[in-house]
Amino acid sequence: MSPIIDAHVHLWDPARGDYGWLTPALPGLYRRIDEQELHAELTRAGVDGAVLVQAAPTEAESDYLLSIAARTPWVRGVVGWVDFDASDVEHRIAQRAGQAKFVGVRPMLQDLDDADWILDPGRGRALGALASHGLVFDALIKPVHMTRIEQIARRHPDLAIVIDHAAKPAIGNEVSRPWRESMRALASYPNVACKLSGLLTELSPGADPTRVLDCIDVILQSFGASRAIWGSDWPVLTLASTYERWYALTQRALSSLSERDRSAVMGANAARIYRLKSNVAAPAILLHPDDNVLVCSRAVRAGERFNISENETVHVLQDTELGHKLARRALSVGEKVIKYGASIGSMTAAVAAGGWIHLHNMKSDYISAHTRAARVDAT
Amino acid sequence: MSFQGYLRKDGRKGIRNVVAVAYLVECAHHVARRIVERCDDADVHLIGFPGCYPNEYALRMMKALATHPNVGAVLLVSLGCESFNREALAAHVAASDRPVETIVIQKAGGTRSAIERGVAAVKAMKQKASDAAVRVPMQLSELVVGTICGGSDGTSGITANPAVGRAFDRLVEAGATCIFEETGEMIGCEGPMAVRASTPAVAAAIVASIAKAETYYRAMGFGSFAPGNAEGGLSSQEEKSAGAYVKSGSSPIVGVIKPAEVPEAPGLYLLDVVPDGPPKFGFPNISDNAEIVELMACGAHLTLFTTGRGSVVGSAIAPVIKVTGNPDTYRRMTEDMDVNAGRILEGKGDLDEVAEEIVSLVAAVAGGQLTKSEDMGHREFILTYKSFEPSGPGCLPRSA
Repeated sequence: MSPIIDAHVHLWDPARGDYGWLTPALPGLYRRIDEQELHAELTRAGVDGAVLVQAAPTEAESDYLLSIAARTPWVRGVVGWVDFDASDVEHRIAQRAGQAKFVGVRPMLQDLDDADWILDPGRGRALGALASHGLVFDALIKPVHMTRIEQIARRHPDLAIVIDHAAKPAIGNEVSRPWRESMRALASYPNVACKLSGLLTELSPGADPTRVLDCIDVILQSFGASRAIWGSDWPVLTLASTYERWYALTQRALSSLSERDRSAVMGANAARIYRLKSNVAAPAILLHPDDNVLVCSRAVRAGERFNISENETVHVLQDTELGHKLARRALSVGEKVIKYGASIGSMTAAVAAGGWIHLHNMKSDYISAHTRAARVDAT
Repeated sequence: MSFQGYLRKDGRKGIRNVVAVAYLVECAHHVARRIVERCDDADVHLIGFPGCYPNEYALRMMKALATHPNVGAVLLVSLGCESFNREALAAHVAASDRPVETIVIQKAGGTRSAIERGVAAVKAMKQKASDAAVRVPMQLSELVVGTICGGSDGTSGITANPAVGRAFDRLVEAGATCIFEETGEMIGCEGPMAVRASTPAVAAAIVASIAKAETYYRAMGFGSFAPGNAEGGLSSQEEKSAGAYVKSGSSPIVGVIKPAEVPEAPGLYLLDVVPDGPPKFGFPNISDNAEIVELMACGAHLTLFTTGRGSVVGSAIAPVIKVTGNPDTYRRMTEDMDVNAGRILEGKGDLDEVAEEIVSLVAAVAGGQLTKSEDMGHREFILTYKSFEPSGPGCLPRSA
């Protein structure tokens, strides 16, 4: 099972003063909500990581979320905000794309009076920039916007679009047919995915919470297990339910899926679509570009493969312990062993790439090393 | 960061107020140890020198240690017939305004009588030292911090040592005095190290000290390399050396000192621990505590000790902060490890975060918080024969 990732959570501090919608009229939400509180919820549910999503239409809030992400390993990404009407919007998006953990942008379409706002050609420049930098467009929309997003998906086939909260359908006792059809239409574009999140807060008063299961079925049938992304919309979720109950309800909805599909919806899809960087360090480290050895940051097993950079793969030949060295490439007898960019001795036997390098195949060029049983002469 | 220190007559400030009980030959060791045990007091520490032959270095070291700023009073325990110049040591301590007494076992009536008198003397001196203590505010800039590594493995050089290096950078920046050593583990590093020297004389002294170490260790037939280093993935002295060197951080090296030389000006110093002259008394430092003792003799108030395999030692007189580079060692030996730099390997923090943690802990320990080894009663101490020529004037900056 890949890591479980909650692809949609919010953190905020009303004192920052730029949220607009967040007012004392929402007593449960109008307070500082920090990463410790979120971490407690995730840990209780067994969720490994989260993607923070913007809640204010300002770039300052994105900086705020990125600063939290920078010090919090389990925060895997930030969906922020960029001013689509700025004259240098492409430059701004390029800069954001260079910041660690910045994975997407979310204009707050649901709050805009003009449903066609996003169709404006000027804003199309921003969407093009998102596509070329591999950033996701998070669509915070209502059903009225669904056909507009279809147009965007058609105009920008390289843009990854994620529909938040399944476009917030009103959930009564029956699934709305127009919504269902629009979901299918959106799903026909391979660059569109949908978040399985936020639905409990869309329930009509008095409606049965299990009606949400019908909506989830529509999402899964339309987008399949490879384009549905699980999230919670916590803490907004707490207006209607608890993290624990949402988690249990969605697990029930996914129970008929294979383990592989469940794992995709619960984290792997988010990791792929948002291009989340692994927060697990590679099991071996290259200390200096000139080195011909790697140092294991955990014990590795024969047969393991991993990347030490985007285009350099290591194939481990034999079990090697934490702190020990692996050959980065094949080394022959007499070759210098380079670590920290400096020679640490010479090979006394050949080793293939991915093999263990130690006293059995290298020696000091300076003075004998020894174990309790044996001495490895330097000369 | 400010904390309360103990002001001494020479102007230095201590972070502890220890009564040191010092045996002046191995023959007095048992009596001195029994005195310390009977006192059953965390602030009464055992130190000493085992040899019977006269040795300039040992006398200089004992003078430096008995007047270390963390020491408030001293009891000397002599058998009576050994060559150690107890009178000179006692006079040196008395001149520093510290309470000092000497018990000569042969004059005191033997073992039992000497122990009884010693216990009474320590209790009286402890009271005196406590009554006479002058508590004053102390800053990070007034600290002398040493670093060593022990039980290194393949993680030490990539987590704990560079984290200590960055902590050293911050401490030096704050005006503190920092000392690194292990010249025998820096063979091959002398070029880059000399570039960091603040004067040509210091650069020359660095190169000379490493060349001396190389000659010395070759004559001994062993480098500073233990079987545990190999089990932990280190394959050669050079590899261990490169990892050890990064503990020094990136500050300029302002001086090269020898044991028992106390720097007057702040900054980063290299301590040359390899004896001068032809190899004479065996291995320069027979175990990690021999190095800690030399750092203390240069005024170190505390020592940052990095370990991969998991050393447990502490020290008499000056607290030891244990930083492990290996996350498995931290899990296995949490009770001994103050800082887990190994978490870096598991994606839980980076070198700067660990460096911050180390600096905060240095301030807390300076303010009286006990380190783990200190709390568990580790008070290791070892001093053996060596010989040194004094450092040349160019090796030491004078205070402004």
